[in-house]
Amino acid sequence: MEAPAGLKYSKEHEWVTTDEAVATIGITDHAQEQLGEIVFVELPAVGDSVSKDDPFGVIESVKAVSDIYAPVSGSVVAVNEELAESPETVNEDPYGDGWLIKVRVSDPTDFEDLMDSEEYESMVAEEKES
Amino acid sequence: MVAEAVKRTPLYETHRRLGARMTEFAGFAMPLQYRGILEEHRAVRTAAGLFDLSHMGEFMVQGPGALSLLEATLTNSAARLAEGQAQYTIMCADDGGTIDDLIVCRLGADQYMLCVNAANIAADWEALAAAPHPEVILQDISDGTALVAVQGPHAVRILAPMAASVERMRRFHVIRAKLAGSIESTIARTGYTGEDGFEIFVAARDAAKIFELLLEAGADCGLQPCGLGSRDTLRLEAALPLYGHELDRATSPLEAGLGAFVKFGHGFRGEAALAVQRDRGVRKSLVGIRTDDGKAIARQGYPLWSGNRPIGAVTSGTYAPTFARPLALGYVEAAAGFAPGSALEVEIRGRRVSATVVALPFYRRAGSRN
Repeated sequence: MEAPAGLKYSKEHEWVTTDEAVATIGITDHAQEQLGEIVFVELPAVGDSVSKDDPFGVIESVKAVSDIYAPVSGSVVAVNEELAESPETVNEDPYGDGWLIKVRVSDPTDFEDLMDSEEYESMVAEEKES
Repeated sequence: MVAEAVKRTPLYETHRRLGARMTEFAGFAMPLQYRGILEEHRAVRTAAGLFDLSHMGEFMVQGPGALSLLEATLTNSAARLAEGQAQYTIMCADDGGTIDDLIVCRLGADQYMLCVNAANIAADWEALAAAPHPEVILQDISDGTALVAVQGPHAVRILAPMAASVERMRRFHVIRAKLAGSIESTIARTGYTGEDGFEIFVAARDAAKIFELLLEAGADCGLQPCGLGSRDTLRLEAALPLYGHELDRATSPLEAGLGAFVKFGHGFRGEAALAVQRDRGVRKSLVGIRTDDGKAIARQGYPLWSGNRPIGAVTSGTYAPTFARPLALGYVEAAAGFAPGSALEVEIRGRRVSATVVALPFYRRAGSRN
């Protein structure tokens, strides 16, 4: 399991970039591994707003359907259109080409309760033990 | 309430060593996948796959009264089985609802083996024991029996060097053979994948050895260990029912489209109720469903609509790797008469998506009749 430093992480296994007004959001390596082979990704449209801790889209693997939760609130400025044809990119490159959406962050304090990579890694380790 | 311990098959350690991701199914820790559901699915369609099915139950039914008991409790006609033949059959309740679907193998003159779903072992046993059965010895041999399946176009090539007689076996035939010179086995040319293949029953103590031998024997042909994930996508493409999805106590085999396995006239439990359904029509029918956008998956429980009328629900839905699109099975009101090509809608997360009824099975292997 890989969780790059410099990103912020949610309890629901999403990552978000922090260094700009427009944040990129995706799911973690651990999340894609748990889901298995991803075959469909349903994302909002540009201009939609997303609310922190609410589902903004859906990821389907062969076995299961899972909600994706917004780690921060904001308005969607870009969605990863490539995933419509190649959803497996989320498995192959979850922190790179497998990004999901970019949002203009409405409230920078949304980042405060998110985890850094070390905190996220220890949460995952605890989940695995329990 | 104390949770019951999750049971392990004799191959549990083998699965861990092979790096399987495990899941719980019918009270057993079972492999969900090894290298991935899609890859395992493709291996079975194009080469071969090896499955641990040791969670399934096996009953021996023996003695002069054995056939009478089977005729009284199962919808298909066990009387038509010659020694060395197997058949798919259904166990029904009085109201025609399905207790289980299973395979009967006739191993000897008065000797039959039933292979039943793991989740239904107790219910099946109860139903058999409740029927009058003079001169029958009923034995549940599930715990001491392991079941592994080799499925796929190369299955016969993999198994033949270990048991030459399998090459001459026809579909739904069963033999006893010594594998690798010493392992006693019962081999049926049956499966749950839509491919050619064999299901091999051995003593639990021999399971790990036979699994290893088959993995080695199949390595050159592209055989892969396969988990329940690909078993489900394979059986769905072949439109083979899964108990708890297409079949349950509230569903009859006629509603499930399994009329070919219901032989009227031998006095089986539920026959009167099924005769009424046959004569007056069934309340619901199983259909194949393809969502038109080819993206979102219609999953179990999703409502089906025709215009503004709720007409049924999806019972199984998944991404179908062979077709690279989602496919589903579901029940619709029989009266609505949804022939292949009919339009309907599936409600996916509150949104109605247009879909089309398609003929079953979705997948039929080249050169097969069934």
